[in-house]
Amino acid sequence: MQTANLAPLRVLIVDDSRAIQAIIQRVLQAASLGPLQFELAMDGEQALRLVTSFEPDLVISDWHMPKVSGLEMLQTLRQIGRHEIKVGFVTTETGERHLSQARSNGAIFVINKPFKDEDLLREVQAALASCREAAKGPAPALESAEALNRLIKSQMREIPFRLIPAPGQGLNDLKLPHNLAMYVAEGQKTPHALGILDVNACCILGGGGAQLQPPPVRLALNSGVPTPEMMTQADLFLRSAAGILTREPGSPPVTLKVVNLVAKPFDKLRSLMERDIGRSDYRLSVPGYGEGRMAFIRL
Amino acid sequence: MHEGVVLSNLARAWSGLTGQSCAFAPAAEPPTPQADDACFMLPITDCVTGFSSHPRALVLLLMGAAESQALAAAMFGLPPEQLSPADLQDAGAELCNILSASLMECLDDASLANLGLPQPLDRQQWPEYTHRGERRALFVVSSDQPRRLAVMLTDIHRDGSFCRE
Repeated sequence: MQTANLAPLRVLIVDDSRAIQAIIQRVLQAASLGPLQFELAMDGEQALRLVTSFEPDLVISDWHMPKVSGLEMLQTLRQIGRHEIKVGFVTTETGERHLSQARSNGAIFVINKPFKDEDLLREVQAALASCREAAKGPAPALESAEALNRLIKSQMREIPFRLIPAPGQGLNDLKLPHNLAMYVAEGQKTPHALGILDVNACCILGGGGAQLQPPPVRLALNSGVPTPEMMTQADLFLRSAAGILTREPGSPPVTLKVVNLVAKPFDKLRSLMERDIGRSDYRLSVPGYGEGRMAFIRL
Repeated sequence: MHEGVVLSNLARAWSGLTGQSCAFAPAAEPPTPQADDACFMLPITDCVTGFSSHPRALVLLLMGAAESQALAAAMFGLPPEQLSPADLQDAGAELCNILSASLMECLDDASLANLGLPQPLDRQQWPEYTHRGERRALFVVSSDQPRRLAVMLTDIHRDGSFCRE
């Protein structure tokens, strides 16, 4: 495994047997799992205290322990909102009524003692891969900057432009009114993503799509009122953008369902932007035209 | 109870922890403890009471000194001379825990049973504990092997004398 540049993942091993702690740690250290940091706890109470200081990515816990059991520890973690911490059990517990409680609280695996090294490694590898994926942050709403660049180029043709990433831009950074597009995956009722062009981006993409000279585009930018021709071109751009939205492999195609000019920002849109389960934010600069902003938000 | 399954699970537990094979067999009487044997017990409660002070059954484990050393050395990954008495006790208690999960099969109805926590048992108390309650299972290492291991399950459902403080 390539370990360069990987931040160490933190593994908290919770077991009232130091011997089991030693076995689990030895098995994980001997495998090529990338950089790992370990912390050990003898019971659920100690583990819960360590969660704040150690901030584990993965907790591997026994079930039957003094003071606070493994299940109680898991339930407490969820109750205090620590849903991101992955928890797996290595236990003698086999009762289905207990194990279903663990699963319903989000336990990612249950391995019975005595376990085979390869069984533990398989589960931990999957958990750590998922942790590393989560550490990268959500996937962007668009496939790539290159795809967006190609799409804009097809819109603007020979007009030069510069696409500048604008991560973290807020709704207030986009000049009103906004051209708001809603995208839906085929066969789905819930929206897949939103696309927003601020008024400047509408003027720029609209003017470029219509191959206008700079003066009418600058006029529209300054007045904040794009022409109908510009809006038609801006809508066409948003329709084409459906083809470069990020989607899961094998998932149905996504199309533009509706596009509306929004005169005022609304709270729901702001909260969707802030939730950030996948965004692509850019500034679009065209010499002679000006600069506009756009955002695509995965829902 | 499927005795064959339990025997197989016991052997698998020992070999899984130590890397050494070991066959168990049913026995008629528990062994008499020797001076350097280690003993452990683990209460099994049921969720009707759910209190560890009201066990329904007990698992008892007796292990020879050589077996204690071999087990702890394998589990801690250390040579025997580097092991402390606490290491031996920790490994023995965990073996008792793991064997107990297999022996729960020997209860009439284990669907409500909960494993308690393993704890060391004073060697002097072994004879008393092994002769109280109703013996449900007793397995020792086969006589053709040099190991000294015995594990038993005794049903003490109606025996208040095992209540712990």
